[in-house]
Amino acid sequence: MELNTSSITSIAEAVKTKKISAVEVTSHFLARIDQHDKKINSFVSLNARALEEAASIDKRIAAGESVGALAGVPVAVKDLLCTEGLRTTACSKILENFVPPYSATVVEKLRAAGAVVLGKTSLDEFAMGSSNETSIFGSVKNTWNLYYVPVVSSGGSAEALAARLAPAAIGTDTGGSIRQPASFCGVYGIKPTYGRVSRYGIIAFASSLDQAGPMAHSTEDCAVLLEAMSGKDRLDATSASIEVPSWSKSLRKDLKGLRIGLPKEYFSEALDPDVARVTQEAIAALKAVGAEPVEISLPLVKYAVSIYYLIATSEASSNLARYDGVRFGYRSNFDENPAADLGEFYARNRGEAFGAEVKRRIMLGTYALSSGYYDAYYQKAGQVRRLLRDEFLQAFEKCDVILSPVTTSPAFKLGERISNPLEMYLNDIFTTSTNLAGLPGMSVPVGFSKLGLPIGVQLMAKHFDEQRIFDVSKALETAFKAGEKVPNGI
Amino acid sequence: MLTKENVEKVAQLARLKLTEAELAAIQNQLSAVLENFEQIAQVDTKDVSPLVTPTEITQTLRADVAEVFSSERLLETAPEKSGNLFKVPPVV
Repeated sequence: MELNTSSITSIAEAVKTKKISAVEVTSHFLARIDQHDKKINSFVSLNARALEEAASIDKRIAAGESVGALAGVPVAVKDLLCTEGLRTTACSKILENFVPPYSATVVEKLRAAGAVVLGKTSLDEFAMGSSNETSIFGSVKNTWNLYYVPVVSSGGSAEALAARLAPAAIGTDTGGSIRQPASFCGVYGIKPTYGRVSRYGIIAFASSLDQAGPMAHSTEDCAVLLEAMSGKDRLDATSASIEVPSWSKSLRKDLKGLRIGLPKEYFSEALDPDVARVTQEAIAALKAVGAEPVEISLPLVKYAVSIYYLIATSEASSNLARYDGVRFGYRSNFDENPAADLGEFYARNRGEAFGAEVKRRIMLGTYALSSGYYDAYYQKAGQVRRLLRDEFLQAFEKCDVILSPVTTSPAFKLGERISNPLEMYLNDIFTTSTNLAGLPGMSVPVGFSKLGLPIGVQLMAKHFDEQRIFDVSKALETAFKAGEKVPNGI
Repeated sequence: MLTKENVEKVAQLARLKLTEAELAAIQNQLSAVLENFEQIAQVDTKDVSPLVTPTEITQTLRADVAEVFSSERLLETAPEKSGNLFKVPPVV
């Protein structure tokens, strides 16, 4: 069995029918990590119990027990999801040695479906960054070109997939952190509707925007993973009590009559020519299978980055207040130089252990929430957020799925934008509005830049209408097969 | 434009001890970011209530029953402990 290019479903099927053991599958990918990850740097911790967990799946199958849809499927998990007994760092010095006493609901659900956690993948510290350069474990390299960024915080998960170090990966997406690295690395990745997946046990960045989602090599693989991850969780009051459909089994054969909305504001002259070309190719391919392009307008999208950063940093400043050095995490040395008061104790622990980008965002958020500025920043952003969401809902009266670029350009070089935060933030223009409105959004690989770097397109649909997104993704997959190309040297 | 005093006050509110160099960098960077973000003032939001959670589904409640979590497990993550307690250094 050629495991590097096998679908998740075929791996699970082979494991269930004993054509291959779960231990053999896990061993194969652990060996690949050992061989390739030194140069890519996608994993920060490996699960020492991975083979043991795989063996227990084999044992259950041998005993005739029923195992789930992900039987023996190795999964790379972003190091922002708590894993009981396995170090979880958020790639921050403040959590460098944190071993959680419990697992995220998503991790529990994946394991219940038979998945094996291979290890934890790198991210920008606390998922804050647009280039995967702010991890304390060093930057992740783009498998397609080692001098380019994999972009955005779930970069480790995307790279592990691109390098075929795992057949499935889990990311989180607050403003594009699943979709942007998926696009830059030539893989599929979906941020589900807000509330579709439990946030319990996922280290919080911005609670009204965060969602976990799958990344994989095909539409169907993403759908199968999302089916296993979704559902109401009593431990997350914002998770939705809504049925989880069998998306993978309901994919449409053609798109006759499906209306594809093209927001005219997303197709400006500023768009990189390669991105513009690939997006037009995607539209043409969808027309060829019966979809009807419809021009729509989303004028408020130009404010999305501003309201996103005001809201995300405000929520982050509140969420990250818990890292104070009392109950867990980094504590400074106070033996020789005691703190003058409790405030200094907190401030020194936090000042020494948070990285530059995290501090910058805590500062921005604290300012936006502070007395005298709250109305003009945080509250105003929330008001525009409502108008933006309503604008999307109105647009969905004219179309079924919205198609747009994922980013304005393909991957950029390491170090190119890290010193100018504003320029880096503006890179999130196409992805942040999806989180603000709570809509599902997916990045689907379609083509390549002239330099050979992957480029995806973004698909968005109404709340809880992931099916339409998967339908269109499948049509693009059939037309381009862009996710099948493997980087050189892999 | 943020003043140095603004930035120092925010750092104090955020319980972040920052170096002079960090304060200066943040003052410049946040000023640029905020200047750009001020464009949202152009949007008419009269009588619009802020959207704080995107899907506005009814939140479900559960019975308020305490679930016991092993305090030993929780203390395993402590930087310092004393018996069944988290230990912090004395402040003077």
